[in-house]
Amino acid sequence: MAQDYELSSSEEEYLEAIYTRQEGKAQVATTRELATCLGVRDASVTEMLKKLSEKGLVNYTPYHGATLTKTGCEIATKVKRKHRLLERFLVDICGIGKRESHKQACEIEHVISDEAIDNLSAQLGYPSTCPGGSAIPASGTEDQTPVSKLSEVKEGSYMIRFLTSPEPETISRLCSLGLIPGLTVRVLQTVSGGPLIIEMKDTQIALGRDVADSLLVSPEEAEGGRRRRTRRGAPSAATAG
Amino acid sequence: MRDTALKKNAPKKLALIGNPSAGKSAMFSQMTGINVIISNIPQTTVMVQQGLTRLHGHDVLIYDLPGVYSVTSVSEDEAATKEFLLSTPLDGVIDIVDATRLERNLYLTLQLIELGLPVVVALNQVDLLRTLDLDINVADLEKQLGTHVVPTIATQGEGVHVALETAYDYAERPQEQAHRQVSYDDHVERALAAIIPLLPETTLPKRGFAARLLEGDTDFESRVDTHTLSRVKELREEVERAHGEDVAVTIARGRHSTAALIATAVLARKVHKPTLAEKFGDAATRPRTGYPMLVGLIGGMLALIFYVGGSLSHAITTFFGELVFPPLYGVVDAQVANPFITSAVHSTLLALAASLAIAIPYILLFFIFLAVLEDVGYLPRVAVLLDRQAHIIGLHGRSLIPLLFGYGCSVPAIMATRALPTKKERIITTVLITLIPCSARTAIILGVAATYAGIPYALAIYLISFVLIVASGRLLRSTIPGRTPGLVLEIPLVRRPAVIPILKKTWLRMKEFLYIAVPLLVAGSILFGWLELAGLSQFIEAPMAPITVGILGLPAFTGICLIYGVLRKEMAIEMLAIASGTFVFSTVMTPVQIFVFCLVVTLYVPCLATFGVIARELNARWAVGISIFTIVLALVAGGVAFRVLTFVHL
Repeated sequence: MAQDYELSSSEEEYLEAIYTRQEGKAQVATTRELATCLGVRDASVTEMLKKLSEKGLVNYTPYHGATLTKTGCEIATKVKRKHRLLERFLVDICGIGKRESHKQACEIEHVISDEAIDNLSAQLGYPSTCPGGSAIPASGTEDQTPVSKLSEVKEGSYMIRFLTSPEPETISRLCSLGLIPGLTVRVLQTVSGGPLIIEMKDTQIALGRDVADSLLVSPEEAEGGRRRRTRRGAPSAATAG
Repeated sequence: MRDTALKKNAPKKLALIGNPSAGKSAMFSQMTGINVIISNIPQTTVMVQQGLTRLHGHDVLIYDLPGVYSVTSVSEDEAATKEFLLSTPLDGVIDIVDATRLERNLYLTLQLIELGLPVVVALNQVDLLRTLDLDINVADLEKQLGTHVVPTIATQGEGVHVALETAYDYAERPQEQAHRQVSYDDHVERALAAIIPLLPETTLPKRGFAARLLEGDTDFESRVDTHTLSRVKELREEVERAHGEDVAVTIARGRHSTAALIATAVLARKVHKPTLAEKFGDAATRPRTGYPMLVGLIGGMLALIFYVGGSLSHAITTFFGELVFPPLYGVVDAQVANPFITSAVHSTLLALAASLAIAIPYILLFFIFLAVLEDVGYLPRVAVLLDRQAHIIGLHGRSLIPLLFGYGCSVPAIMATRALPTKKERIITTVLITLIPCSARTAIILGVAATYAGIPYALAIYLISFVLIVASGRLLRSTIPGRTPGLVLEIPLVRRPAVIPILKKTWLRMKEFLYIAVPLLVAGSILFGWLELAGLSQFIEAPMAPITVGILGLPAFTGICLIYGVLRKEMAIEMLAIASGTFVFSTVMTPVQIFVFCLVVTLYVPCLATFGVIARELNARWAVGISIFTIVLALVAGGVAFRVLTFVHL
């Protein structure tokens, strides 16, 4: 199982670097290229590629270069995804410059959990690209339904997907009213800047914009089966190579 | 289980609980005869009220708890309710469930059952089901919940006695407990099963206890040892890992889904076309239709009070002044020689006439109007309509309900601020309420300023008070620390106002005026008459002169009126009539003087009762602070107005 691999940060960095090369349509990442990209000596690259090859993560041909195995690719995709989402977060939310965000993302990507990154992705509204414009790989575990803040939707039916608020009181109030993930609500009235009026369980409730911001929703088809309930955050089990 | 047999003679204790605006207060007043003011506004009951009634020759004590959506939340009301339920040995709990919002209301019912409380359900407002094309099978609901369900229409008293008897009988036979269990998600169920064997023996049902522990309710965490607590924490983390959300949300989902299952099983729906009332409700919150409606209603109300109230007031004063008083005075003057007694009789009559001329036309009309708006369900809709504007003064729409109440009377308005979730909002709203022209001040503005100085002057007072409210709100918003969570407000159904409840409510509010203000005014009037007679009145007027004459440019006799206005605002003009000896104020004061006087009375110090309620709700320092603030505001506004207007008129 992929999750059993205890990889060091630098191992993950290598996988990521090879991934980036392959993403750029290159068939093989050469030792030379990797050394330049990671700023290390050629010898170190050779040594590391051998090690990763033994773990079954890369296919290494001496003097030629390396490609990722299926498992290696899965791990690299995950790391890259973390990296790019973190960049998005650092640039969009923290207001940090692109160069600096890259550096910090390189550090955090190795310690942040899969669950945390999936939730971050949801909070950011499932962005598809990093600040540099590269695609953010999808995660195998997260639900890909696009979500938006309840405060930003038009009138119609929506299903609540996430509850996020820095104030426990708001969460608690919404919970006791029954506004919890999985519930379908109808937005009856939305006036720019003013509160929304929603209908749920035969009750009309007015929600201030800021409260509506803490409800992430996805559009609900007019009629249709109850959708599967997604279990976010379950430990992801990638297949072993 | 509950130790009732031992205390045969002690009164049975029943509690009324339910969602905001489910009809608790109506139920309470029907049961006890205590007149609670009932309104179609979430959160009117803000503390536990109690009343006594008799049933089968026994005393029954009934508690009316604040309206809550659940007994878990972190809000003050809900915490107080939970505390009360856990610490008071109750013989029965009548859960008032709003039949029109069954599923949502059942959430609380399930929580109460989970806590092992002897719950009887009063299914209220069943009369409204038909207009909504809904139908509830009561027998099925009883079966589903495993407890008694009594259909009621609390406002009309229907079914109320049956509900009371059912709860009483249930208290007599407490063994009958086969309640609906909440079915939770598998992960939660496994956690509960693991927690239950660790629990100490208590009167609480173990399953409910375990659920409370799992969701992290601190009131329950304190009842178990640290070993259990750490095990619960592990289990909680397990559930949270499996669901990727706060365990409290998962547990709430369990309760809501159970409520949904029950509601679906017992509720029949027919195709529903929006009624006229629903369309009205919808239009009231949409800016395009809502603003004109609000302006129309307020303008209409002021015009109605001014014209209808004005002519009524005129009729009353003429009736007394021309038909009743002259013969009475004649008789008294002829029979009694002592000038102090004749003066007292004159003063009493004058005071009564003044009260009637103010109370009936202005205050009564205003209260009827406010009661109609309340019962129709209009006020929460204003809160929604103006939420964005309320942000300008550091508030949310929900503060507008107490503020609108403030146009009636500051005292209940300030009490209603308890429903606001943060201290910051309570303080700002309270301060602003003291600046709002209450019905007494409306009587002054319309009855004196508009009548004797001119309508533009009256509108100017409203405008100035409005500007000062906005300015003070902005000032307070930036000086009081803390932030305020956004609006979450249930919008009640639009209801047809019923005549009897509105008259009852109006009478309750008027009663206070008649019982407290009128005697005060009579006493004040007699005292003033005697002071005049003894030639002492200048001892009051002289020290006030630097303010009244100096700063405000008013006649000296207004000094005593301003002092009386502290007791009750409208007494300022009643005393004005007494002190000047006429109701036709334009004969003794210039329009500018009338305007300045009314402006000052509108703004300066909250009346005595308001001062008391501020001291109780915030603290004495705030009450003093607000008084000083408003006096300064009134003197500045009055002084400036006097000078500007005099300058313009020159």
